[in-house]
Amino acid sequence: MNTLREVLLEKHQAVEPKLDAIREHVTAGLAAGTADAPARAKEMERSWQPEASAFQVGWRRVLWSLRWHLAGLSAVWLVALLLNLEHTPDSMQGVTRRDAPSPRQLLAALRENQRQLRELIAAPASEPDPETPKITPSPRSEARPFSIAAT
Amino acid sequence: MLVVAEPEQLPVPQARAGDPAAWDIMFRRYQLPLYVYVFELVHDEQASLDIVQETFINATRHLGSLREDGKFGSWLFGIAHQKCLQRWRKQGREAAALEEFAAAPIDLEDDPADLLIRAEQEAAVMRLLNQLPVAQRSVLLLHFVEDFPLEDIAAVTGTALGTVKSRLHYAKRALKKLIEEEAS
Repeated sequence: MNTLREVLLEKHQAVEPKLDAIREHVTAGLAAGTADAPARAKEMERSWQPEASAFQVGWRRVLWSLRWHLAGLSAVWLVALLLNLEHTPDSMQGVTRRDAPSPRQLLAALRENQRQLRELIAAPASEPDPETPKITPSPRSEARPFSIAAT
Repeated sequence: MLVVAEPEQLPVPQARAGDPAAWDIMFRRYQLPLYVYVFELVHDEQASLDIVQETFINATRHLGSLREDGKFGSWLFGIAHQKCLQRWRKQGREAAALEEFAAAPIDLEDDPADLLIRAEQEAAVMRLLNQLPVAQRSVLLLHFVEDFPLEDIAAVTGTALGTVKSRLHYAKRALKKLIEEEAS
């Protein structure tokens, strides 16, 4: 006694080798599809390579014929660049930067300057001027009447 | 006795990642039941093999449309079913093949394994199976060959659940009647 399933599967079991072949074909195609991806990319590269190489060959020929001219021009530009570098403000700036005082020196100079200023401001108050006469007021009783003395 | 992998053991995630070995396991599991289903509908070996191949190729291309990994089997049968419909459409047989039956929902107490067939009955069962209308045959095959749930059969055949129940009921009743007649 068999189930209907078993009856049906057994009835068609003879076709199994053909089904195996189909399965293998499909899965092989799948494997080739995944494995082919880099190969396909290479093929695509190859397909546009001839055009590119023709373009490159043309450029190479032009550049090769002008190689001495280009080398000479390059040398001139290099010398010009070097000379330009020697006299750029940047180099001067480098020198000035090298000679510039340190912050500590600047601070000391500033303090010295302030001290001299303070001395200059304070000097007139402490030393009296010898040339200017000193007027001291006397009491009124000591004053002699000018008219009597005159008479 | 044929030994096949259970649907839950199928390496669907690996197949989604494009692993050919995973596809090989899954196709090996379903190739014969799928062929049986297709052959019993179209009755043409070469056409059935072509449909199986097209189904496999379509499956590899459209696995992304499979929502549940556990439904791979019914999804694969659904592709094959559509291929059969396309073939009938080309032959102008669609109307005859897809004739509708009166929907009469019933309780399905029978298990596919319950319907046991003696060796001498096999030829008669096959003959009757071929006499059934395509719509009933399709439901019966999906039920007996793969033991798909009724919801899955409805999805495969693109019909309402009630229609599937009705078709299965009539098909089983006819088969049982024949087996009883043969036994007596």
